[in-house]
Amino acid sequence: MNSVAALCLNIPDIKRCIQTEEDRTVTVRTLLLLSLWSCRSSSPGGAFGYVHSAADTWGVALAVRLPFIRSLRKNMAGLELLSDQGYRLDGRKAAELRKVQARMGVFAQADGSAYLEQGNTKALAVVYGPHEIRGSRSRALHDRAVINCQYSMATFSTAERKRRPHGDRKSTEMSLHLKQTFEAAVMTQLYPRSQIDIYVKILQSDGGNYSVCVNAATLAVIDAGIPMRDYVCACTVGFVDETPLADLCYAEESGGVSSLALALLPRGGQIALLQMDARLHQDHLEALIEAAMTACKGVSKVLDEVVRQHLQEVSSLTGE
Amino acid sequence: MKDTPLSNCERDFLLQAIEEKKRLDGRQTYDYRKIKITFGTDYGCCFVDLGKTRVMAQVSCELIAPKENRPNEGIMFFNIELSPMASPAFEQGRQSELSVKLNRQLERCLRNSKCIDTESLCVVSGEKVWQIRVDVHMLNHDGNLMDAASIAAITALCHFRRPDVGIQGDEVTVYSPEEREPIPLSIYHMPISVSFSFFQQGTYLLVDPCEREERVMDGLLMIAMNKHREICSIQSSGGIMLLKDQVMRCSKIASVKVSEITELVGKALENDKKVRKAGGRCGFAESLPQERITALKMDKTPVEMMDVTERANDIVQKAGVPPQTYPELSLNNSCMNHENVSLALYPPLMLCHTVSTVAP
Repeated sequence: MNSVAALCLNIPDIKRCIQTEEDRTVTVRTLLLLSLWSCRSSSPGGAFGYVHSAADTWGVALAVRLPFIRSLRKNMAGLELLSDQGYRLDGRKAAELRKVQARMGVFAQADGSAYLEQGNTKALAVVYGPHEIRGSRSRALHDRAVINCQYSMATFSTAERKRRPHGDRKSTEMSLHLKQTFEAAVMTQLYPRSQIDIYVKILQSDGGNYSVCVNAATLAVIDAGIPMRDYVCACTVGFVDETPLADLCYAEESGGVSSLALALLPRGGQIALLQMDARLHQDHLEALIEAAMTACKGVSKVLDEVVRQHLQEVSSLTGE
Repeated sequence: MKDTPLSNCERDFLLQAIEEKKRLDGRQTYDYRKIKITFGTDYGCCFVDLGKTRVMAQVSCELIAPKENRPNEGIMFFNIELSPMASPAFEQGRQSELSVKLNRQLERCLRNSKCIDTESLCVVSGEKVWQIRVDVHMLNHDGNLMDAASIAAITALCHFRRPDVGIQGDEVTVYSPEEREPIPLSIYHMPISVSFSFFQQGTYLLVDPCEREERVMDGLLMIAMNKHREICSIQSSGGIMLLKDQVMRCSKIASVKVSEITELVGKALENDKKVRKAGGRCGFAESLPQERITALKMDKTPVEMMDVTERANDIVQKAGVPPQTYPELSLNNSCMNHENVSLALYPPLMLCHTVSTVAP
């Protein structure tokens, strides 16, 4: 019985399978697959019960039983983020990114704009400027441009409706981080006494909000024609079972993984922002940063392709 | 009130000193300033002095209804208050960038690293849990507020004791400290933040920057760790480009610093416990009747100042004509000769310079 067939079965089928199957070792393997699958989909309790009872009635060797039960216990506490076969919750491999789709120049009014999807996380970025300083003149810097960022989340972006789309501590912090990232990447010294506005909105949130915002804003800044040192690409990376997982989705992020967000200028390998949450042993840090940098380089390839394609479209329209 | 900006002269001086691996207060590159930890009369009150930076943390608790999605977990609340008392640049009542940054960093350092067992703070599941509130007040700002705040907060949490509760049927009784001994919080590990400042686009690195150094730095990297060498949070800030090797180097330095600081905190807590057991006066009360002010007291001069005057005179004598002229001053003091004017103008600078050359 191959794994594809096993995944199509449901719980009554497991029972049948247990009753009819002769070769126990094969059954045990199937059972593992089935149980993991059903844990993920609907009823972890049910699967646990079956495996347990089956293992008891057959007297399967303890060495075989224990890892099952341990892995299932883990499922009870929280989802198992990396299966024994090396697959993640959404079927990706450890170092695999989500699908990135992007489009530049989505608004006519703004100087630059971009829309970016990374898996189910969707963001819209708009850039105005460089223009004269708005508001208080005292903010102007005599040697470079001021970058003003605003991060907001649409009220419908999360499962629970958000009361305040922006202005709370978390989103203020996110705005600060975006500002910091782009201050490092944009060649602000070319525009003294002026201001560049970057507005980013999350339309749908499914993990990695910061990185998606940075990627979208990079495209918008490029669309606005503002010179940058390099693409800024960001990615979040998690660490589970001694393996770094690239580009976390919401389920993985909230599963208590230690996660690291990193914004990279890929050509020079310079880190524009580094942020890490939760506990991680020092010895693993290097591997994690390395994985994050690789993931960022992957993102930068996709962004580069998007920019080139956009340029081609625009130039063919203008007939050049 | 806006901060008075640093003059170009001072900025250049500081940067040049850093290039020569010297610091204003005579420290080495990786040295911390002197850390002093004192406790208040009550449980959960802690003062931390980091050089001249002074921070107070106070922990309090309250019975409240839990959050709906976590019915049997207590709630941790952190707040850093930047009062105008600490620095004229801090404004009352406004959420400045700095305060958001510090607050979030402290939250991340202490809450997200799960250093406190929140489940033990549950009294009645879904109805009553303890909310532990940590208020950190900045009393004096001389740089590196985050490290001082993190030490103060975690020490205050270790020192804090909550009242015991008893449950009979539906009734919850909170016992006063006289009736039943208060209970300490269960703390798994102690995350402590270590700050690194970068200068000249990351060429130079200093640990524990003072206020002056913070003003001329390009970027900051904060690493929170515990003594088991587990990193609890990393945050880079300021528009600086880091390289991976720099981060790795910082994390290695941080692990050494954290183990030193943890030991210090442990000693301070033990000391306080002993004093309290003996029934002696402890914490703030100790300093009151002696009619002396202990805040900001300098214990000893950090640098050798023995032959500063002679050296200053030496330098003045050897120095040529100052590069810049000051028309207003020379008009007013037309009778003064040039050398005297330059000495009158530069006393702090001259002193600083000689001091930093004398310093070990």
